[in-house]
Amino acid sequence: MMRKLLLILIFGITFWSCTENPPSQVDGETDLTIYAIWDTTSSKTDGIPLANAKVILTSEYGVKIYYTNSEGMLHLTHLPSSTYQISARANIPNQPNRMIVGNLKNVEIVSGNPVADTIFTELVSSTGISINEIYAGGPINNIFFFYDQYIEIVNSSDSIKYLDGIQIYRVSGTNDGTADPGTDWGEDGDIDGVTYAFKFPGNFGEKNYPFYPREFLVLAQTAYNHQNSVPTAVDLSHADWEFYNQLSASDFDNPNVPNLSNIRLDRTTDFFINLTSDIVIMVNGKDAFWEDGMDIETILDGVEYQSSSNSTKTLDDRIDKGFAFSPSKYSGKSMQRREASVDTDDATLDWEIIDAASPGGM
Amino acid sequence: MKQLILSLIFALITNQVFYSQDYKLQSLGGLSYSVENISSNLDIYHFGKNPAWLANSYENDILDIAPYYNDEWGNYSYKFAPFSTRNTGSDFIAIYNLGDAGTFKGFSNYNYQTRKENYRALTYESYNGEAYFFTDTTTGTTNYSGPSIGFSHGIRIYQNLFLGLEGNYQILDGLKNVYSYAISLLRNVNSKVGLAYKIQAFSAGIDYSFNSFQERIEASDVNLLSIQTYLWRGETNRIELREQQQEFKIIKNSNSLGLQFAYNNNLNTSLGFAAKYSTSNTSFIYPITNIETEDGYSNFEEIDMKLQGKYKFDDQILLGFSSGYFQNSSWTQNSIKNLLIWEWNYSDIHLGFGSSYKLFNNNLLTAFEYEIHSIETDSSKYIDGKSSSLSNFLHKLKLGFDYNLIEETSILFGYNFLYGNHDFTKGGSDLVAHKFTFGTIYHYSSEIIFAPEIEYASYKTNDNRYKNSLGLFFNMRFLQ
Repeated sequence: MMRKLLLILIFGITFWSCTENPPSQVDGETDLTIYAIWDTTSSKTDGIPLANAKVILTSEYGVKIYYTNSEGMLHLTHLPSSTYQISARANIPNQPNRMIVGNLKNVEIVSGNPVADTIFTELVSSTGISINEIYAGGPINNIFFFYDQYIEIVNSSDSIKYLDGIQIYRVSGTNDGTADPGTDWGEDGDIDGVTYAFKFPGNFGEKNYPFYPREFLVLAQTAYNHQNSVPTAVDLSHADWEFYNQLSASDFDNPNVPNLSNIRLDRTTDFFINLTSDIVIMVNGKDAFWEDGMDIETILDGVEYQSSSNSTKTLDDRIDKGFAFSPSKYSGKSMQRREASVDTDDATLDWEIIDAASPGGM
Repeated sequence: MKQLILSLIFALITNQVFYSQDYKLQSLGGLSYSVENISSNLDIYHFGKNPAWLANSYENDILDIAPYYNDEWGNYSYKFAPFSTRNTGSDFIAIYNLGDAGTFKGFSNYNYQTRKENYRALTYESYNGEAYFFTDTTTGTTNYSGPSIGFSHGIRIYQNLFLGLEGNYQILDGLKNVYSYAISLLRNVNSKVGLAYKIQAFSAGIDYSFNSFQERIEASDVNLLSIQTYLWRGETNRIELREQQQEFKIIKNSNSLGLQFAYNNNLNTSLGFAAKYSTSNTSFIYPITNIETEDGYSNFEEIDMKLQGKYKFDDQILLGFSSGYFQNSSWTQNSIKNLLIWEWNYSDIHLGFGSSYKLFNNNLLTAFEYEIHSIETDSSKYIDGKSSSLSNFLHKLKLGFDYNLIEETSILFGYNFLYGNHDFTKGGSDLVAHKFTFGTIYHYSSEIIFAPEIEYASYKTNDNRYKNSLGLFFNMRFLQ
């Protein structure tokens, strides 16, 4: 009997000796060196180190912000392995109103493989008018209230622009499920999937509605003090413009706020946008016929926002190469450009979530 | 500290209670090898936890009914943990001596647990040495409730050879009463088979146990808000998850092989040796694009050895000693990228001795036990860029007094003191703990015993973190 017991013991020990081994490669043994330079000459290789530049790292682990040292260098260790989007941005030394930005896309940081790269920053070229904030998710509430949505636009140029004929689109159509919104369905150089289309008064080229340099304009879904309905909502009674669907029998119209009017005549609702994922596009109005899509060269700005870093981006890369990360719905939070004047056509790096709506740059 | 680590082998409530000590030892501050008591016998069942020896462990039929209330509160806890935890429930234990059919022990429990100010945690176990955590954004109250049942059966199968079987099943429902309104469903199954053999004063045993644990967490807000949660890989890196509904699953499996030896000459000397080797693993599963994917995986390997002895000097004096070695090695990987993110080792060597002495015509029993633990930890949290290596001495002192007030009634008092240099799992140093127990045992008749007990404990570290606990127990034993 003891012999049997011993056999069982030996069998058991042999069985257990096949223990698992951990992976040989560890996470976090990373070494990332970024040099940020800016260039006042035509030769980028002779760029000047960009000291104290904000370096934004975006990955599945969220957004992390660092700053370069006086040599224009940032050295990081113990980053988790992931694919990173990296942006460096700073004001041009001694010119606080002029922003220079550079991006590195899809940088694979793998444990054990040091990465060193250089970001060449450049003066941001802007068409002048861009979308600066999208407040879509609604205030903190439990009655599904989201009617205080608004879009804020900015003229980040040094010259007066004109709003005449500019159109704002919500783009979420899928062509009956056969195509993604914000893509070029017919590969004919325009963007398709328009759900709602609203327009400033006037026509492209006219100059009746000036938009002054560094000015922010709030385009309210409904220009009303929504705090009368939900205390945590945004007071939009003093918005600069209001989306108003003249074909709707119920859309509220604030007589003190000028309107953007509906130009998609088969739609009778207000300019609603999805609370957590959608595409908003602003065009200059030169292409007044939206039904065949928006000509890409007329697009002033376009932003896609999504609720998850795993979401699939659909907006055409010629409009924007990333998407903004949206806050939870009914959280009272909003999405805004990190710097109002910076539009690198990569919303992943250009946009951030802010804790509260800030209409008019409040 | 050691109990913390032992929790790694999934000693949930079921298992902890199933082998829980006798109410008398509990009232004596948890004394064991320094006093005579059936629950502290150095035999294959009570010391070695091998169900085969159950056939030799009880002569009478016993029914224990033990309702309890226990509340602990304080900020000496893990990062994602409740401020207070309250347990209310009752144990039911029945032992039947079936003669030639062996001895059967049945167990059931229903526990209702309330965790208040539960800081972000969504999982049942706040920390088990794994590098994965699943949290939301709120602090709120979480309730868990559910039954557990179990049995143990030991039987002589051939001359001096005994066979034992044991099974436990526990199921728990949990709900966090605040956003994200996470619902938990836990299932824990434990089974054990053992053999024991007796040669005169010697006995030997071997057992194998398997444990399967699964926890599924579903979060979907009652107000249809999107659920915002975080999947932590390590302490500092997290992935934000935002969906209308979220599911997270934890699956744990463990295997243990145990060996036991005991010597009892029925006169004055008994010795017990128990060794256990365990392997266990944990999978953390999160559905990516609706496909369940293992995001993380933890592996544990443990060795636990104990040697205890008792020597009855005379009718008044009992001497005892205890020694042991415990080792745990574990690692956690990011399964998607096949990268090691945490690795740590823990070892604990302890030595202890104790004695009991009877005074006043054996009406007063006084006893003490002292243990010193030498603990070594080696932690490498690669993904967090942290590593540490700590040595720690832990001192435990237990005192107990049992005074036979009148013929049917005795009062019992216990005191524990604990001091440790470091606590590397919860942080902090100079941990000091005091525990007081007070109970009475009243023999209502030769067949009925009532044993109410109250416990109070306090823990404090040098950074003024604390944890207090209050326990109320009412044990009723029915003998036949």
